[in-house]
Amino acid sequence: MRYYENLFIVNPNIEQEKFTQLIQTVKAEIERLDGNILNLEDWGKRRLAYPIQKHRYGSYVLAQFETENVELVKELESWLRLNQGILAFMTVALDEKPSPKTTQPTDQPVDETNV
Amino acid sequence: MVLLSKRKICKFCENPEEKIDYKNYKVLRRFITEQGKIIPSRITGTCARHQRELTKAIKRARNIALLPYTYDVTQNYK
Repeated sequence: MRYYENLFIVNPNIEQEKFTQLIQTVKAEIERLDGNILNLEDWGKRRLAYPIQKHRYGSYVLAQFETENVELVKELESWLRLNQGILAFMTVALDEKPSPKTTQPTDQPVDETNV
Repeated sequence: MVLLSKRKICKFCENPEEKIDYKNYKVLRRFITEQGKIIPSRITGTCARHQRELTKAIKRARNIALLPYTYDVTQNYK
């Protein structure tokens, strides 16, 4: 089994409903490609270290999954690239099976009202 | 803080609990300069193995906008 994680940044201006929907489609896409989701974490809205497509903030989501499909990463990335709501993403291969819910940075995401 | 310590001990050898991970950018931030450059192990005292891991983690964090490639120190950007 291969383990991966994908951290992606969602456009912070989309509505909550659309955001949830988008996460679901990402999840569905990973599953469609024979991936098994182990963790799905919403880090919330954070300030980006540099602007991406003129956005200064972004909603980070981390997906950790396992798969036997060697083509998954390639296909997932080309799919993510076409997705308008996603500003950036990065897939990293993991050495070992990730333990559940330990990866979230400790600082607080930015408050919606201050943006 | 890291810059000033006289005796150089690798932070990560000292404390094996501290994992080097690109997601843990709060820790990585201690190993970049004001301008965003990676501080050499010569200065920080990080051992070679951990410096390699650190470099990789910092570069990954930059890729996904957790850390900057550069800070413009002439602007009030931070």
